[in-house]
Amino acid sequence: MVLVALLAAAGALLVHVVSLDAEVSSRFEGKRWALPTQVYARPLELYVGRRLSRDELLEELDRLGYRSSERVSRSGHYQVHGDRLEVMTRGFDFWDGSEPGRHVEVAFAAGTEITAIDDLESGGPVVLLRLDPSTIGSIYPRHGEDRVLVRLDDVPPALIDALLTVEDRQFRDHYGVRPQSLFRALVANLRAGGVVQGGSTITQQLVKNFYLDNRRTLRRKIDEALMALLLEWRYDKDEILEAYLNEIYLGQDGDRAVHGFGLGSQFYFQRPLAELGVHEVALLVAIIRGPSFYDPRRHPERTRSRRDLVLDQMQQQALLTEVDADQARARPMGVVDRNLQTTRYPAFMGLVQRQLRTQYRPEDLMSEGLRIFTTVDPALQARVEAQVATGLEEIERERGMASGGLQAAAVVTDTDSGEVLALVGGRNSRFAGFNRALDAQRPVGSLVKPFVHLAALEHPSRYHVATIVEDGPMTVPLPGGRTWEPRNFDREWHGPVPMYRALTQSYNAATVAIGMDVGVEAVIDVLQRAGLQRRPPAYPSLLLGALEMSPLEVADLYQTLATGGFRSPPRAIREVTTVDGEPLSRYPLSVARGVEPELAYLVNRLLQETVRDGTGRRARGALPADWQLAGKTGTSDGLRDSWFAGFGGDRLAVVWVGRDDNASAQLTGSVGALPLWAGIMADARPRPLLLRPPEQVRERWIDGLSGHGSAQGCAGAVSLPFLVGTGPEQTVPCGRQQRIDETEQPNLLRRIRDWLGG
Amino acid sequence: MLMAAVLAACAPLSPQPAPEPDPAPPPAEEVTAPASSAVLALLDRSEGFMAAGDHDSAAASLERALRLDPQNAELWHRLARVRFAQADWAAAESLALRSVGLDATGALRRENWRLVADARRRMDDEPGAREAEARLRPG
Repeated sequence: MVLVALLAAAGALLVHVVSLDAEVSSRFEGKRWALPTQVYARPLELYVGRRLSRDELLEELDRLGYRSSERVSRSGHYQVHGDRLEVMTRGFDFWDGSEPGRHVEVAFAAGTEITAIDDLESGGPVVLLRLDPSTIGSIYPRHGEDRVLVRLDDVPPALIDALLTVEDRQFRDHYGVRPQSLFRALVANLRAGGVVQGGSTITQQLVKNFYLDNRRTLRRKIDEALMALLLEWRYDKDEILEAYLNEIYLGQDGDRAVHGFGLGSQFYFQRPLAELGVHEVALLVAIIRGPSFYDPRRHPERTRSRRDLVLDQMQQQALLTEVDADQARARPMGVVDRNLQTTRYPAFMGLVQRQLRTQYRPEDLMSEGLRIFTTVDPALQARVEAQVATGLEEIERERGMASGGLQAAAVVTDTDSGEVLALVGGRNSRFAGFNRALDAQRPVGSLVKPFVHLAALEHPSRYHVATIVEDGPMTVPLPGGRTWEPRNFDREWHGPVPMYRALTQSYNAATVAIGMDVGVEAVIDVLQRAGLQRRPPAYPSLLLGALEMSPLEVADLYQTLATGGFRSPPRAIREVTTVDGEPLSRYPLSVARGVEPELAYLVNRLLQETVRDGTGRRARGALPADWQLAGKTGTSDGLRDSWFAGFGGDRLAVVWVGRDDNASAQLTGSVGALPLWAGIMADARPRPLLLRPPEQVRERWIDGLSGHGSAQGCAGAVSLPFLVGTGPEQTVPCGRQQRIDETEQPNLLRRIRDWLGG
Repeated sequence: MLMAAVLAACAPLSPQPAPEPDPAPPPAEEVTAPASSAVLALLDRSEGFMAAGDHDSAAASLERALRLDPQNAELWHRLARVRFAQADWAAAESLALRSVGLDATGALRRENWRLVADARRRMDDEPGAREAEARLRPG
């Protein structure tokens, strides 16, 4: 009978052990793959001639967690020598190749540009150097855990020494449990009637970390011991140690658990594990015993004592000389204030996630440890966030508005590549709230007008930039027998005007006249070719911007103008790779035909005129004239939405200002969005917009009022571009600005009157 | 006819033939690329990749170079060639046109228009191809 009972017990134990074994291996294997996706900002490229100041480079190094030090002997350190900066860069595996770490000296000219980069090891010049990119966020697995994966080979030896000394000196020799200490603990626990003593090996601690809850029952201890034995049976010491290094719980950041030394190093020191000194490594090992109890931020004294204890033990075991141990004990803990932020720039991350969704399933992003290289420029992003916040405060103050009522969104792109450099979704950029840059669909108002003009210019036999159009009262019939009578913002009629003035001064009536003549459908065609992804209904009110778009969509549209007619949709991602660096997809520089370059040139010249002398002229005071920026104000019906979209040689910015509750903010485009835009462009420092006239374009002098031919030096003459073979057929005598005689009616006017039946 | 009569009757403005076009305002100045050594190094690298048949890496090098020197017509042209080698005809056409926009009268012009013509032919756009070839003839 006893035998049967024993056999049954053994059988049950065997079954139990087998199930534990299954659990051990599945958890062990499973944990390896629960890696989050890491998201990086654009890396800073250094080369001779780059317009970058020493302080800007220091700002980037600070962002990357580089430290100033007396001797630059390890990566991640730098020293300032006046106008020269000595730095040992970290290497990095980019999507397009590996960048080695280098010890260089960068020389600057008077705070404006890089004049030399020298490799201090080889003594030769460095042609191009790419810094490691800063991390802007991670996309987490569902259970809120995170890893910065470390390989055993990359871990500082001092860490292994400290760890084994303090936690498990016989790690290399035992079988997962130390029978003597286990027995002792067992006896002590039985005597005390509960669990009082530890005695866990590293293997056992690893097993403990696999469980989310923390029951300390005897049964649990036995299971852990069994699982530790199984782990040692299945995996070798190095594998177990490596898993431990990546698994051990080291702290809490809000609702985010900090697991593993890689992440722990970032959490406490904002630096990679490989760069830590002995005193810092000892601190991390000290924390293992109880990260809440030994929290260096909340309980600095006792944590420091335990750190020193770790150093003592290392010294006792002859792993540290007395001198080194003394030096280490003398150092402060060195823990930084800042916590890990889950995501910097949540609005920009929102765009990244959306663009990823078109390529990957959510599960792929959660668990594969992908690395995403994005386009954001952290320095510019920070400045744009600040501009939006202070800009809105200023408007509210100046106009006596209640503080906090206004909202805004901004998008800044590199026009040559379409890369999104900065994206702001609201006045408070810290939190991931409603992302207005992506999701606020607002009537664009006058922002649509350049495209109405483009549609007209596509008929060169009927329209050129000086064609006379009528800005007067009109009645547009609508479906259902209703009518529409568009009015100008200033309630004035301007009569016959050259077409370009209708754009630079943003005349409503003239624009509607032009748009109705070429047809709303034709305008929609142009909008689609320029990037609009849908087909709105062809209501005449579309001509004045009764068309809802997000700031990002507006940027897409205006990108086509800024590139001279080529579609260059805003993109936030440059490349995605696996955790090992294999490229997964390409987001290549995409250039497709949009509108004819000749016509884009004509409109861009008019947009420059808009900033120089039109509704955008308020920008002039804030920005250098020789930048020759182009831009357009936009104000929607009832002054609910205030827009400005404009660009220089290589930077485009779109700004929207308004209210979330859609009440009128009483701001026109030039009063609301334009000041923010000007501040942003000042920070973005674009190349001047030097438009190259295409082959088929000729300049002519035009009389500004009448639109007839004039000559250089004549009063009121402006130089405007025309397609070859087009342009005014009449001229005016020089010296006299001419108003158009009402009796001389251009064909267009006739045709509109006929069409209206009036 | 009525229009002409009205015009003739009232003549506050004297119709004249359009005068000779005045000289254009100064065109975009050629700015010397500040990153020339870096750009050359990347160009070199991309040529190597192309020779080895690694088009993706060639494109990545060119895109990196373009970030340093976006007004460089040669770089756009090379990228157009890479896309052509990858059979991405639409991209090749647009990139070559982009290069044209930056270097309308230079040596690259003919090569760009030839590339545009070839790309269009591959996309079965015969009239477009001939239009591009017309640009190859001088004048």
